[in-house]
Amino acid sequence: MPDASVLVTEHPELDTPLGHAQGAVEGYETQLSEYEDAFARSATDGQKAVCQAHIDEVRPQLEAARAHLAEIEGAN
Amino acid sequence: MAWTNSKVFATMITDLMNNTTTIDLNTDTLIEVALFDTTVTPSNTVTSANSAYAAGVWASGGVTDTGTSAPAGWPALGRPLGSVTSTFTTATYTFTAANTVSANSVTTLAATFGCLVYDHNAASPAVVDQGLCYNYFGGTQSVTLGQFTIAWNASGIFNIAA
Repeated sequence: MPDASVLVTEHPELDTPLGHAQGAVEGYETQLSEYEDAFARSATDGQKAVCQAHIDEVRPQLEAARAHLAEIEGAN
Repeated sequence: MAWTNSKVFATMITDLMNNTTTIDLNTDTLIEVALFDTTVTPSNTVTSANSAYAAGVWASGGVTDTGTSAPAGWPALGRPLGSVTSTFTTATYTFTAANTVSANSVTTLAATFGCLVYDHNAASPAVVDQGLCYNYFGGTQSVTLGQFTIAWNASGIFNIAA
């Protein structure tokens, strides 16, 4: 049974309020896109229900992250 | 004991053979990768119920993004596998996927030792979120404000020799 390995790339230049806010938006956009893709590929109601639950969970988090980013960009 | 190796859950194989699970590795659309610290002592001989995410030893010790953007980079429930393949070639069955990457470039994860790969589509009346396998990272791994990538072994996330 094979072990997995880990690759890491760090971005200390993003350790700013703007960098964090952009990262939050990036993270939730990625998650939402993946859940929507999984929903589209789902063939059963059960699979769709699991995906939809996560879409409903992530969408408001993304909206909040976008609002926070807009505040920071406005302050700048 | 903590982490020392990577294993496929024996009950997952038995449940697939006996058709007592809703797992379908060829078509399930949400197979997740949840991260864990060194407080976890995994066993591949636990019951199906105790192989599941948030059950058995997997009920604690989870690692999630603790950066300011938390938990956007790596949620507690995990990151989904992409480009999954489930194939049999030259006397070996192999389950694998594209490398699994944090959802953003400012992820912070501390003291990560391994991951639980589980089927988020697995549902009642069988075991919900049943575990497929666990994979050791060879020691502690961390990232501070960056991208964390699990590079799956060339031999697959798991394989079974016929």
